[in-house]
Amino acid sequence: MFWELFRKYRAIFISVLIFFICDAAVVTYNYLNSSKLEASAVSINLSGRQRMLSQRTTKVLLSLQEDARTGASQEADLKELALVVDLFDTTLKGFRDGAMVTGGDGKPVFLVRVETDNAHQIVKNAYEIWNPYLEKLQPLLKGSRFSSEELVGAVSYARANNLKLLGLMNDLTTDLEQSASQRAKWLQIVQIVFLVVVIMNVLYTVFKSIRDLMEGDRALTKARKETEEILGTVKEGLFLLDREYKIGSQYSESLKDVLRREVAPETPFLPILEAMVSKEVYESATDYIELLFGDRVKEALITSLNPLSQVEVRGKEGDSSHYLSFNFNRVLEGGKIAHLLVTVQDVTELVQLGAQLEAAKGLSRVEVEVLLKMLNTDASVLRQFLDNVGKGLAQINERLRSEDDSEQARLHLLNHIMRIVHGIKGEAAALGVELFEDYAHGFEKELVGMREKGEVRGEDMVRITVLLDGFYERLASITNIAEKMAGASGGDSDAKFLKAFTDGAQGLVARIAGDEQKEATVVFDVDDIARLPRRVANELNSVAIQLLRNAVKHGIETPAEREAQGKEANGEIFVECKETGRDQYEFTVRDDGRGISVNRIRETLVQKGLFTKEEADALSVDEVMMQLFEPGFSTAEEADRDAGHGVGLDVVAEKVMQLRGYLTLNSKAKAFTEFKIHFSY
Amino acid sequence: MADITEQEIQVFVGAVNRYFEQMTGEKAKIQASFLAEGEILPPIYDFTGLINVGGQYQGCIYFSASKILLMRLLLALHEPRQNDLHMLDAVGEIANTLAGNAREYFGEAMTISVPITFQGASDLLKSAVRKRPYIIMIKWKQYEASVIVDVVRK
Repeated sequence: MFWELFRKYRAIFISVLIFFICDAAVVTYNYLNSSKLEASAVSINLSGRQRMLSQRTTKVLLSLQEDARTGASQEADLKELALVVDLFDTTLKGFRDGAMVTGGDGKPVFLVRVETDNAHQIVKNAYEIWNPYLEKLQPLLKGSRFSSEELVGAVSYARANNLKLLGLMNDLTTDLEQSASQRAKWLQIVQIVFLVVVIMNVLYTVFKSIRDLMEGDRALTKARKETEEILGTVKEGLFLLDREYKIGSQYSESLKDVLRREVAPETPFLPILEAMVSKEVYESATDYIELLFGDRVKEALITSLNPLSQVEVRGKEGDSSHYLSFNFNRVLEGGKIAHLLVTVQDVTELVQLGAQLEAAKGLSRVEVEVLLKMLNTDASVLRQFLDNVGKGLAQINERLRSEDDSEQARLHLLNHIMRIVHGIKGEAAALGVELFEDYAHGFEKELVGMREKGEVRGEDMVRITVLLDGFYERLASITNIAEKMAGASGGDSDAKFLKAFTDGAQGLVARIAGDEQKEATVVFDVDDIARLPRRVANELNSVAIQLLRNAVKHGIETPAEREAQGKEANGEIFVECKETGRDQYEFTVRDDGRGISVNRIRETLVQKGLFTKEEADALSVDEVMMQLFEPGFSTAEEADRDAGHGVGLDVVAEKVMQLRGYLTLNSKAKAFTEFKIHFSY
Repeated sequence: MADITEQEIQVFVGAVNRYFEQMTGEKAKIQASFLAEGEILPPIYDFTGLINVGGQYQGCIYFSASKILLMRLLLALHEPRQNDLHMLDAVGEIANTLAGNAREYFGEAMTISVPITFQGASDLLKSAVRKRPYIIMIKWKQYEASVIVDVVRK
């Protein structure tokens, strides 16, 4: 505190200090000098007396001579002589050595020794006269028994030296007066210097203070002007809130625009807030402001509790609502919370932009892709696909509600979900909705990962739910587009459906063949498929997708292998749908690839630990083939998006069951594999 | 509308599970997890504790439990009084734990209301922000409770 004051008013402090130092020095000097002046006065006085004493001595001697001549009594003159001589002698000693002498008033006084060389010389010269004089006076000082010769001798010496002694005492007086005068002059000079210093010091302090005050005023005016400029220009609403929740006297011009309300200094803030926000927000906000004014809670800890960080605000009558963001910061004075600095921003545009951005994000690549597909695809195929996906997801969600959390039940649940997801993936692939296919593939991979761990934890269930929700989101956005585009797609027709079916299948085969570095083409004879209800046709489409995927992945050999076996490098897959009787149909998928190797399936069953070698060897060919339709079976060494997860043929089996049909499987090593589905509707 | 992540959902579920483990020494586990979709509605038990969230998020999270679970919980907490008020206090405390964990995890990004508790159904639950709120079924001992996460990222 003191240091703060000292730093601020340093010039004044130093000035006052200089004044005191000068004052003390002059007072001390004055005191010392006045003592000396007093001593000088004594010396001057006594040197004057010496002149008088020299004359009186002579006078007394002459008087004694006259007494001797007339025969009068000499007693009074002798007494006076003794007194005068003693006084002169002790005083002269005092001038020489400094001593206590009898003062002018008869009281003892200290006579200081003379200081100047001249005075010393005068005193010395005086002694040269006085000493013989005193010697001649000695007989007279002893009383009345002195001879007339002794008196004549003394009188003669006095007559001869009286004027000299008087002259010396005069000189001494003059010298002492000069010394005293010199000292007085010095005192005057010192006092004048002090006066000048003090005046300069005062002038300096006054000028400096005035200059500082003027500078302070200028800075204050500038600061006020800048504050006014800031408050007048800033777009945010800025104001100080006092402990009585009143708006301070200074606030930004835009405050009333941001709040969309009139504001005056000292206006209570809470009624303004209450009129703008809901009751709950208002109550939370008052709690929050109260907390901010309290000293107990750190500001940073409660920032997240600010209910007004982005708040929807009611407009006045006729105005629409908007969004405001209030930020509160403590303003400390002397370590105590004095005010809250409140910053208010209108964030309506920001919020609207956010919403627009979200809407724009909605039109993602997937949707654009679907849009393009729809222009070339039978709308019913897409609708059916989306419908199937919706049903599949609903089935998954229904299954997820299962309360059976045993390990076996959860693994079973996982397999079921995988079949559904795999089915969706296949259909998405056939339609060429790659990003949709990718999502299903990612979902499937997650499920495989869980299955491989051997246990499905509660957290995994949450993970599946999140993935499911993501699927729902994609479905919703695509459905939305599909519905909007339904009118523009030009409706569906059998020809369009067939084209979609064959194009989808051909495209899928071409893609997988490309991935596998194989060559394959599909030959279709599926016109009868158009006669089927679309629901059935779509189910067949799903089956075809899985079987075509398997045919390329597992059946068709690489061109080199095929050529080595004397086959065409290009593999062929034949897809046929034939009406075999009244509402009786056969749906066939046949490839001219390597056929199914029973031994390879046996090896896989042993490798996967599903059977011991003995058990696997003991299985009949039919029993081995049946294993292909079990969930989780796959002969692929590595899983990718087309095979390896052991989901595929179990999906086919499930679809066949839904069609209430049956499936036959024929295969010959190095020649062909044929799946035939027999069904009626 | 951006979505909350699995990790963020696990923050809420983890908070409830830890509460049971720390207070009673016995873990709660996730029994099932699914979406409130179509006819599948969020299960509301006898007592519910709810927190509303704001900031960069919007919506609410609530914990709903049956009377019998709460009676058993109060017993485990050595609370001899088991009236409705105490049960409301118990769900309130769990909701508070949810809030505390959320505050720690999300920091300033999420503003969190003071927990609200109620008995039975409430209008407070009607303003769902998600199309499909997450429902996580919790099992503690043999009793069921639910954590419903109805939150979106703004």
